[in-house]
Amino acid sequence: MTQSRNISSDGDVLLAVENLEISFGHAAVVKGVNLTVKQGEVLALVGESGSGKSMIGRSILGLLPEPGRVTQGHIRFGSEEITSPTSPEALRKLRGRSIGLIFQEPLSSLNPTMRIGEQMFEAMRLHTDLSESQIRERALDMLRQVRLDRPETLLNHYPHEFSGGMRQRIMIASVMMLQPKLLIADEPTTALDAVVQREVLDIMEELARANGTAVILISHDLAVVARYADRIAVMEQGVLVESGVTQKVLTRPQHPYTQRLLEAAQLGVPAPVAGREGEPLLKIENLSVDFTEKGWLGLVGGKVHHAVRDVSLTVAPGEFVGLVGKSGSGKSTIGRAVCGLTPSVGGRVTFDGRELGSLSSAEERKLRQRIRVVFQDPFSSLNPRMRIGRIIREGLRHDTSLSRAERQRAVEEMLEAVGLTREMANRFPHALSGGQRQRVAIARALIAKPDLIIADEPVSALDVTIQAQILSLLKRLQAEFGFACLFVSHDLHIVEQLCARLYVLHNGRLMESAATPDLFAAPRHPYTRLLLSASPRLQQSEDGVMLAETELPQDDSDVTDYYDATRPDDPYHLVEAKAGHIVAVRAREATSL
Amino acid sequence: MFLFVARRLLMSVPTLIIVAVMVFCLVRALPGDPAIMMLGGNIDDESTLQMMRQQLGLDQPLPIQFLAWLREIFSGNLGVSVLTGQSVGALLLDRFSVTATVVLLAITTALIVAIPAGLVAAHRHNSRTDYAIVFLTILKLSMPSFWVGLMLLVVFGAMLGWLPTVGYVSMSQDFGLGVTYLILPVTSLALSEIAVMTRMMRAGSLEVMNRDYITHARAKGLPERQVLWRHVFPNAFAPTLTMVGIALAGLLAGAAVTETVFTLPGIGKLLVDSIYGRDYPVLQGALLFIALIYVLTNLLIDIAYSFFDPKVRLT
Repeated sequence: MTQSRNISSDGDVLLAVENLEISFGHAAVVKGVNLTVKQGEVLALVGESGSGKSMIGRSILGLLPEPGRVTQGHIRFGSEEITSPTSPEALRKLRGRSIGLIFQEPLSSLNPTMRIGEQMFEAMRLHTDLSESQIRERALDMLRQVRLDRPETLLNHYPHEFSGGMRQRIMIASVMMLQPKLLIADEPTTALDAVVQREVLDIMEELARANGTAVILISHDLAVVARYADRIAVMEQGVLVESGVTQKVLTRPQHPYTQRLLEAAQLGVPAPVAGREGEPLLKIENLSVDFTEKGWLGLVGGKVHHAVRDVSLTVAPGEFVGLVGKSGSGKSTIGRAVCGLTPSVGGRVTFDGRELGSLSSAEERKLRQRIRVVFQDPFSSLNPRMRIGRIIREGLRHDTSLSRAERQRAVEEMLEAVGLTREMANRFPHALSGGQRQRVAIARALIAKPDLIIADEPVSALDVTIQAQILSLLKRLQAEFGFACLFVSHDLHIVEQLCARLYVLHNGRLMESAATPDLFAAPRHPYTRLLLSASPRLQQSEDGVMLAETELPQDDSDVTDYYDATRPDDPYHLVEAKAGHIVAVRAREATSL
Repeated sequence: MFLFVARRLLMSVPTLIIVAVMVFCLVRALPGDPAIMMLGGNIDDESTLQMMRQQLGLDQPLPIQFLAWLREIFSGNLGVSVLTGQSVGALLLDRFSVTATVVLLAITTALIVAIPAGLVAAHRHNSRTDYAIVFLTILKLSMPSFWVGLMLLVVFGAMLGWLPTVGYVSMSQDFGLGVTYLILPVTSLALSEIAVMTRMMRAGSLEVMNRDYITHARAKGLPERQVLWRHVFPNAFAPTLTMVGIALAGLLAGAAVTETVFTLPGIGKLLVDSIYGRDYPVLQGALLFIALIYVLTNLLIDIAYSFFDPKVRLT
């Protein structure tokens, strides 16, 4: 929550951006933007992809990607004019020393061929006169400050040996080590899942406040930045449409675009899609999936990694069921196993009363045609060399009874059903936006009128306003076609919107499952509670929009012995806490439910 | 590391045995009879021919011939040349030393030129420097290498008379003289490799230049030179390294055209001569030796990879 902070309104201006225009060739991507950042304050620069927010961040460092140019206006940092520096050398000295930069992708912003110690040291060597051992001490101290254990052992490792969250913390440590006056954080946690995102942002804010570093926090997600920002500036298509103190922007948004952004970031009223009565459409019993690392010569030994262990779940006809967990929890693997894309080592998958894997291959193929998938990344799930019409038509390939004209008509109808126009059939994927592409992916899945859709993080790669559109599209299409959906996501609030029941996974194990309202009203397992508290959302209150501080209800059960998936060898039992609400515990006897 | 090398060498044994079978069969499939070649083409006496065949072991069934050959190889004896009576092993080593000197010098030169050229071209993308470098590489790539070799001979050997045109003197015999014999073939080979490698290095660097960690290195305030050498180069070099591997193996196995143009007694020339002469032992030995060179070069390149990419683990 925004604490009261002492930022005097006439505080020293650290950075002044005046009438800034940035162009790529003839296209202006930033138009006449004015911004100021005072010492020690956190400014959130919010906008969707293509709004020009990242370009502003880059231009402050004088590092616009080619062929971007500042075509008008000024950027002043202290006494230095960044848009026309006294010398390239002067600008270079500002970088790192006075202005730090943290990027979105922790996977790609560390040099993969250099040990992380070396990457931390090189900037220090450049900007300070400290000795090697002093620099080393300072680096270790920083790693401790970003709460990494045993930092001595980390310095000699390469980036690929760390998880995304750890890399981003290393990044923060290496940038904050120089105690810059201004930190530009460009979507620093977008690639991370909710729990890690919260940790990383907390650490970043803490360090910035402690060092008096001002922060420009660039993000597409209002809900995430609202917690940290003193002021918010909203960008739309290169134009700064609104800026002001966080509370004021949230409660009294002036510009329609800000209002729309706020609406999209709010907790909508959940409208779960309940299933029809009767036999479950999909029944997974004790499914286990292992991944084996190849051993010596690919023959002997090999390490087995249990991606999914003993998971059972059901999906009723026409029901939306959520499968939730952070990355690596095995949630996508379950989806892939149901489609037959990943072999399982144990358990049974029954679809419409028939067990997959026990049928003749012709029958099995026929059965599987009734299951379709929508993947997370609409940029890589559509073949870039195929036209949209052909991509969608492919979904009908197995149906030989249709004539060419019938297929064409089906494609056109489907395009309109997902809110696109018929003319788009002739375009290629690259001409479409992310949201449009995901609509195409949905059209491709739905054209064969399947009974079950497996949606693997279908909105995670999209902007918030687009997310809301796609979710309501799925809902509308469900009402029209009546399919069931296994909705895989790391974001509890997204699955809350649509899913009637939720399954929470951690390290391949089922932690908790319940009807959605029950799970939100009375989450039991500590892991579920952690997930819930980590995903921020805005909510409507009496005085406008507020950051929803998820006040978790007390755990009223007296179970203390929950199963902890970080200790996989503990005994594992599932018990029914109340009707339809299942929780993982360590010992059946110790629990009194 | 040691385990990795040992394992890879062990794994190469089946490869080499398969090569041995293929070499043996291919050589037998060649038209012509070595016994006739040895007798200088005079076959008026059928019994002399039979005796010669017997002496060479050619009257035995093929599997027996093969096993006999294999046994000899494992005892380290590659046989003697049918034509000159020299030991095949010694002959191969002698010729290989010539090829290896030329090729290694050429590849080293090429790397020294191509790496900075590629980096600079990428760094100054779409500038005049870039265009000039790209133009020169295309120009070189569009000229056949034997023609470039001949032109070098014509200009520096025949017209200017600065360098010798025919023959070879080993540097161990007379260092100064040896060097003068090497300059033209090394230049000719290096030019081709420079063209290919500069393009690879440029393409690799261009790709890496767009990565976040490069922008990040700049955002740290690092000078351009440091950004290029410490951040761009190690990440951009892998594709070029693959090219170096392919070129190295290919050329060490015999730069036949270059060796012919510059009349160098290298392994490529030896191979060609032994085919014309139906010199079975030399031909078989040379082909097997070339397979071994491929195996070893690939191993070397894989080890080199691990220095540039920490994700490559030698296991």
